[in-house]
Formats: sequence, structure tokens, C-alpha cells
Amino acid sequence: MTLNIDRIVALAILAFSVGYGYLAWIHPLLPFEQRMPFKPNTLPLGLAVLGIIFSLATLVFESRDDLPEDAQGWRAFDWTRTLALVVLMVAYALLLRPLGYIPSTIAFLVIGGVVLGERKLWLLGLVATIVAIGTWYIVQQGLGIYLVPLPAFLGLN
Amino acid sequence: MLEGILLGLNAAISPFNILMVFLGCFLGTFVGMLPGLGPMSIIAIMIPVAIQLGDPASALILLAGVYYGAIFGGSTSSILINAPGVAGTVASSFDGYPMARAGQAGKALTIAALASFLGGTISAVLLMVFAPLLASVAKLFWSAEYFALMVLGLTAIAAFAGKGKVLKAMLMSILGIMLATVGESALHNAARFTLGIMDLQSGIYFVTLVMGLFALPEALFLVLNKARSAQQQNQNEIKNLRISAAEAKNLAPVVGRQSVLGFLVGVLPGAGATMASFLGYAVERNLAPKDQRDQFGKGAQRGLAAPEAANNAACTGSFVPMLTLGIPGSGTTAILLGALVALSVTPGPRMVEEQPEVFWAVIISMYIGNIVLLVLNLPLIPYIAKLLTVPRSYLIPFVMFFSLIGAYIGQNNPTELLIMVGLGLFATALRFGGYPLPPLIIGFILGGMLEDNLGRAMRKAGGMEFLWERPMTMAILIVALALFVYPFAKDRWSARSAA
Repeated sequence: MTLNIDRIVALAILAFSVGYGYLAWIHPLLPFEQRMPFKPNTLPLGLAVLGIIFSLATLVFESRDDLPEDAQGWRAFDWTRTLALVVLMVAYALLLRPLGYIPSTIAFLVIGGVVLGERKLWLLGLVATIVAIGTWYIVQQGLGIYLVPLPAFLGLN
Repeated sequence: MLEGILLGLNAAISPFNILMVFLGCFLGTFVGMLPGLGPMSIIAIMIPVAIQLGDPASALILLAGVYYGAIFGGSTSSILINAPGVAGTVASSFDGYPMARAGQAGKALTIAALASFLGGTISAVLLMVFAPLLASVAKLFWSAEYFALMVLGLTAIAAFAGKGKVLKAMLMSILGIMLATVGESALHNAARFTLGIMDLQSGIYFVTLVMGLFALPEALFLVLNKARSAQQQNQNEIKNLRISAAEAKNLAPVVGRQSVLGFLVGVLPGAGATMASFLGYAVERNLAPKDQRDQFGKGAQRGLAAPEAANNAACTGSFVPMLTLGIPGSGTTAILLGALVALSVTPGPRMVEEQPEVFWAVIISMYIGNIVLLVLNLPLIPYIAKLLTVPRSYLIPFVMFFSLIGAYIGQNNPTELLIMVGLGLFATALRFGGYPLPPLIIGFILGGMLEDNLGRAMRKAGGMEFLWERPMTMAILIVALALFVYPFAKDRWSARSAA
């Protein structure tokens, strides 16, 4: 039995179920809740037991040595670009408020396109600008949700 | 019923709702063609917009239009470039793509559009008849039966997950319910499993979870596996769109049969459009005259019409358990159910009485949606197909952006984006491990309702006695157990027969 992604996931869910069960077990109950037939941790405790049973059963009976369809050829996958896009999404989440919606969205779309090989920067920039301003307008005016459009330090918002 | 139909007609044919049907069908078709973006991803992206509409009828009409459009759009990419956008249209590529390669792309798309239209329309009539009937039976249900029914729904979804995936699907359902318990529950005010993170106090935001589980991994897979998106570059000519009277006569019984069969399969929780289309294809292959049977897989028109009628009918069928019992039959209807709950609509047997305008407006909008799909798509087919040439350097960042911003505008909180990226990476690992994701989202959606009903039943009975004191509860749970055991028993039986 080799340790492949299939089994690593089952082990991770097993660990999660144990941790979840522990948190459910130590969940503080109010005095009146302790005598109730259904407590806030009744279902979670049951789920933790089921999670442990089913993750162990998956490990023993259903995990396979051959790779599932989605994972076949994983060594040839483009990991660098994928990682770059994940970092880009995290950066977008962190900079969305400080930089403002419009500049951060334009930067996200342009950098994302460049990471994926686009070289016509003027076209990418134009499309990104139209989408950023267009969605900001729809969300702000159409849906009534306020999105900080520009960096706060400019004092234009 | 007539009163309800008129009420629904009144709501559905308002200019705004007609616009929503058009918009939903158009967007769904457009995006559904993009390989890798299934109806679940598209509906997830559209949910924040639907919720902002405020009116549940308009929101559901928009999302149902997107659903139908996405299924049809998936057929278009199946036929033109052999790259099904959704699992439910894989069977359409078996004969649709060979037809396109033989220079009959236009005819294949016309057959697909007409078969989808008829499948959707016939099944909408069946839905109109059966949904209120089932709702009146479901009114006999108490919380104990609802709990049992939810267990049945989750088990059925696992049982139909496919060979070697039953335990994984069950594990995913359990994980989904676990995630639903994060934050405050309806029965208890104290927050659970928040780990001191204030943003988790009100639980995991449904849109964040859906985007993280479906839209983001799809985009990441398109980057990871270039071969998946490279097929987009190949294009076919559309040419003649017409089908002859003789061809129509040959296809009519196929479409009729598969509309009914697809609807019935769609009603079963966990079966859905994918199973209906494969089943429809297999049935028609066996029923076809000998000379036509040999053509299956090489460009048989019956082989295209059967899965197309069946998958659209199954989409309509999957609305039956969702609208009448509050149990989603598929990942897509689970997402729709979540959207309804977010709009303060509780689908279930009382929905017909308490919110008839929503219930009937959705059913009526299905007719309108099918007509709109036909009117919209037939003339637009050559133009829509051009979308397949959008370079991935534009497509992927835009899909990521719409997923991120969908989660952000719902809560106006950047932490949601970080949670979503984390969920996206976790979901990618799950896909690598061959774990099915729809049971997770179904578990999450049903988790809150399951806990409420279990809590009420236990408080009423003073413990777990309700399990054996209420015959209907016990009967449903026995069926659930039988469904869970069935795939293992079948495998054992097959192994014994082979030996």
C-alpha cells in the first residue's frame, strides 16, 4: 500500500474528524443543555464518529494504487503557473481594500493574463479596464453594494 | 391547480422575469460551452446577482434559465469540438462529434436544440402534474420523517456515485454536514467550531464554499492540465441547419421515450442528467433497428437525440424533490436550494400553499425557458461557437475574478476570498484523490436542516425512540440502508457470477 494523494486525503479527513470530535467533546454546555436529549454537540459527536469510520473504510476498501482520471500525468502539469495564480489570488484578497477595487482588479486580470502567456498587453489592459470599471458600476449602481473604487490615500473615494 | 398556473403565469410573464429568462439562457449557453465550466460553476457565479434581485421568483427564474442554457451550451461544445462542458452532455459527443466531423455540425446542433426543447417541455408538463401530487403526500411528514428523508437523499447520492466511489461520496457528505455545523445553529445560540475567528461566527458563507469547491478548481485544472483546454482551438464548420421530415419522423419516438425516462431518472436523488443521458443512449441503442444500431458511435442521429432529450428532461425532473421535499437531487439543485434559502424561501411541501407564486412561476418559466433557448440558440449557433476560440490567457483569469468577486460582494469581507482560495486548493486535492464534490455541497446544504429536524424529533420523543416508534421514519431509513448496501451487494454478486 503506497501513500498516494487518494490516501493522503483520507488520512487528512481522518485527522480532521478526530480534531472535530475533540472540539465537539469539549464544547461547553450550559447547565440546562446538559439534561436535554439533543445537545449542541449531539450531531457533531455523531458526525465525528461517522467521519472516522468512513475515512478508515475509504483507506482500507476504496483507495487505489492507480491514479484517478484527474490526476493522471500530474508530473507534466504546469505547477509553476498554477502556484503563481494562487499567489495572485491571495495578493488580490489582501490588496483589494488598500489598493481599491478598480486598480487591484485591473492588476489581477493583467498579471493573470501575462502569467498565462498573453503578450498583447494593450489589449489585455483595455479589456481588464473595461471589465473592472463595468463590474464596479454594475455592483455599485445596479446592486447597491459599495466597493471602494480607488486607493484610500488618493482621497477620491 | 389552475389557479396556481395562472398565478405562476402572471409572475413568469412579467417583462422583468422574461428578461431574466433571456439573460439566464443566454449567459448559461455562452458560459456552458466553455470546457470545464459546468452548470454548478455558472450558477454559483450567478448566485450573488440572483440574491441581489430580492424577489425569489425572479432569482429562481434567472438561475433555472442559466441551468438550461448551460446544459445546452455543454452540448454545443460536445458536438463541435468533442469537449463536453458538463458531464451530462458527454453522451451527446458520442454521435454528435462524428456528425460534426462528417460536415453535419449544423444538423447536429439543430437536432440537439430540438430534442432538448421537446425533452424540457414534455418534462415540464410532467413536473406540473407530479410536483403538487408529491407535495400533498409530503405534508404527512413530520420532523422525524424529514430527518429520515435527508438521510435517504444523502445515501442515494452516495449509492449512485459510481463504482469504487460510494464510501468516498459518503465521506464527502459527512464532511459537508460537518462544515454546516460551523457557527451558530438555528436550535442553539452558541457558536461552534469557529476557532476564535469572528468571521466564522455566522458560519461558512454558502457562495464562498460553492465557488471554492467548483469554480476555482475548474480554473486551476485548466491551468494545470493544458491538454484539457487545448481542444478549444479546433473548430468545425456549421453548414446546413435543417432536418428533413423523414429524419424528424425517425427521431420523434426517441425524443418522446427519452423525455419521460429522463424525467423519471431526474426525480431520483443523486441520479440527474448524466445518468439519464447515458441510460437514454444505451436504451435507444438497444431499441434501434439493426442498420441504425451499427451507426451508433459513428454519427447516428438517434444516438444524439436520445441523450439530449433525456438530459434536459432530467434537469426538470431534478426540480421535483427540490421543490416538493426540499431535498436536492443533484449538486446543481443543491446550489439552487441554497440560493432559495438565502432568499428566505423554504422549499418543501408547504411551498405550494405558502408561496404559490414562486412555485408556479418557476414551473411556468421552464416552458418559457425552453422556448427562449430554441429561439435564441438556433440563429445564434454560428456566433456562439466563436466563443470557443477565446484564449485561455483571458478565460482563466476572468473565471477566477468572477468567482472571487462573487464571494466578496456577498459579505463585503476580504477574509472570504482567503477562505475561498483555501477551499479551492482543498477541492483540487480532493479531485486529485478521486473524491466526488457534489455530495459535499449537498451535505452542507442539508446539514442545517438535518440538525434542526433531528433536534426537533429527539426533543419531541425524548431521545432516539422516534426511529422505531414512527413506522414511516423506520421505513425510509430501511430504504436508505438498502440503497447504501446495494452497490456492495451488486459488486459481490457480479464477482461471484464471473467466478
